[in-house]
Amino acid sequence: MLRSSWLLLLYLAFLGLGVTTPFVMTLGYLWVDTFRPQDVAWFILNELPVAMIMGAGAVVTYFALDRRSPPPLMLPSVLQISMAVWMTASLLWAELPDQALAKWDPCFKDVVFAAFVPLVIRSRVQIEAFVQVFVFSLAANYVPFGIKVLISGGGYGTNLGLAGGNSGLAEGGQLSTVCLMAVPLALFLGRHGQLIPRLPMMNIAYAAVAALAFVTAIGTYERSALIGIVAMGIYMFFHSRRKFLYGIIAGMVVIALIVGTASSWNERVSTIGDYQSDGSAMTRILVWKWTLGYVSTHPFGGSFDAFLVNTIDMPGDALNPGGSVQHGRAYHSIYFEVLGELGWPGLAIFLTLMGSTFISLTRLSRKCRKSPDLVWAADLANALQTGMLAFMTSGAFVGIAFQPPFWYFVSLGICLRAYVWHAERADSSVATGWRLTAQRAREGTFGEPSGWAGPPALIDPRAPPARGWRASAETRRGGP
Amino acid sequence: MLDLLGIMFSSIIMFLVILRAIQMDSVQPWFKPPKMGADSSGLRLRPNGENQTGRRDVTRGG
Repeated sequence: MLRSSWLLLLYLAFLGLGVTTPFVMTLGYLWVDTFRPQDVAWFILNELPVAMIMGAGAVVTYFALDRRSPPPLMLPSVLQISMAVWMTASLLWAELPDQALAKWDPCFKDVVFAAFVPLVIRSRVQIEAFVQVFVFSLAANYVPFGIKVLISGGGYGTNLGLAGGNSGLAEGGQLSTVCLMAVPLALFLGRHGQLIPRLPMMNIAYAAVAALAFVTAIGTYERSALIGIVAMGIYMFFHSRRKFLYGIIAGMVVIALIVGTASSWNERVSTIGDYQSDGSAMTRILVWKWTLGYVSTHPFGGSFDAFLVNTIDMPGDALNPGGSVQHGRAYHSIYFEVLGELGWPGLAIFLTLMGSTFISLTRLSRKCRKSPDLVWAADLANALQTGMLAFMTSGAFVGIAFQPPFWYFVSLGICLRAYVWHAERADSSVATGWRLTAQRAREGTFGEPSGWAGPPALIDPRAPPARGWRASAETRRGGP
Repeated sequence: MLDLLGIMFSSIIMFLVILRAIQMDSVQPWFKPPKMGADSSGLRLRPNGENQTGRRDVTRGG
C-alpha cells in the first residue's frame, strides 16, 4: 500500500513537472521504462498504460514547447530509425505473426523512443539528469538486491529483486548485464556530477552505489556476468590514468571474490569452459547452430520470437542417456537473437550501430580530453563505452538485444556528440554559408551586415556601475 | 522492508536531482564553448544574459 502510493505520487510528480519542463517528461519515461513501476505497484499504476501516457506526454510537450537546438543528424540516429522500420517490415514475413506482433510492440517503442531522446536531452545538465535517473531507476532494484546478497548470499535463479517472474529485471542474465552497464555510469557521476551537492563523501557514496550494482551482478550467479566483468576490467585498466592504483583495487576485488563467494558460485562459474557436459551451454550452442541453418534459408529472419519453431536434438547426458528433443528454445544471445529474428540485414544494422557508436565515442573521448571544459564529456564517453562493452560481452549469452538499456546508451552517445558539436559552435559569432542564410531568414535581417552577432544584450543603462572584482574583470575585457 | 528502502532511497535522490536539474537548466548556458587550458568551473550567465566572455549567449535555454 505504502509502496504503491509512493510510486503513484512519483509518477504524478513526473507528469506535473513535465508539463512545464518537457525534458522531465522524457526522464519520467526513462524511469517508467527502466524501473517499471507498473510491475511492482499494487493499484492504479498496474492498471494504467503508464508508459504510453508518459511517452505521449514527452513527445507532445517537446513538439509544443521545446524544439530548440536540435542535434545534427548522425549515423546512429539513422540506424535506430532504420532498425525500427526493418523491425516493422519483418512482421510481413513473421514465422508466428501473433507472437511476433506481441514482442514487436514493446521493442518498437523502445527503439523509437531511444531515437527521440537526443531531440530532448541536449544540455550538460539534461544529459547528467538522464544518467542519474537511469542509474537510480536501476538502483531501486539492485540496492536492496545487493544488500540481500551481502547479508545472505545470492544464488542462480534466486530472485531477490522487486519484480516477480522470470522476465525483465527479475531475470538474472538481464539484471546482471544492466547492473554492469550501470557501474561505470555511477562512477562517472561520483566524479563529475553537478546535480548532487559536492559533499566530501560523494565520491564514496557513488562508489558504494556502483559496488552494490557489481555485487548484484555477482549475486545472480550468471556466468555471462563474469565474462562481462572480465571484459570491463581489462578495458577499464587500459583507460585508467592510475593503472597501479587500479591494479591494486582490481586485485583486492579478485581476492574478495575468491574468499567471499560461496563454493556454489565457484562451482557455477567453473562450468564456463565445460560446455559439452553442461546442458545450458550445450543448448545455447545447438540453438545458435539452428539459427545459422534457419537464416541460410530465411535470410531476412523469421521476425520476433521465431525461435519458437525450433527443434533441438539434445545429446545424451546423465539424466537422459538417450538424448532428448526440445522445442522452442530461446536464442540466449543478442547476436543470434537479432540474426534469427531480423535476418542478415537486421544484424548488419545492429552491428553497424554498435560499432559506429563505439568508434565515435572513442574519437569523442580523445577529442574532449584536450579541453579541460570537456573532460567530463570524455569521461562519460569512456563510461558509455565500458557499459556497452559489458552489454556486448555479457549479451553474447543473454537475449536482451531489444531491451531499453542498450538503446539508451546509443542515444546518450548521440546526445554527447551533439552537445560537443553545439558547444564547439557556441563560440563562433559569425555564421557562414546556409546557416547565415537561414539565420537571416529567421530574423528577417537580410539587409544587415554579415557580421551580425546575435540580439543586443539587455543591459539596463540605469544599472549602477560595477564594483570590486566585477569592475576589474570588465576592465580586463575592455569595458562593460 | 529492504525493497521499500531501495525504492525510497532511489526515488528521493532521483527527485532531488531532477529539481536541481530544472533549476540549473534554466540559468546555465546550454552549450558552453570549450576553452583550452581554462578551468572547468563553468561559465555562469550574468543577469543580462551575457556570459563571462562578454558575449550574449544566444544558445542558452530557459
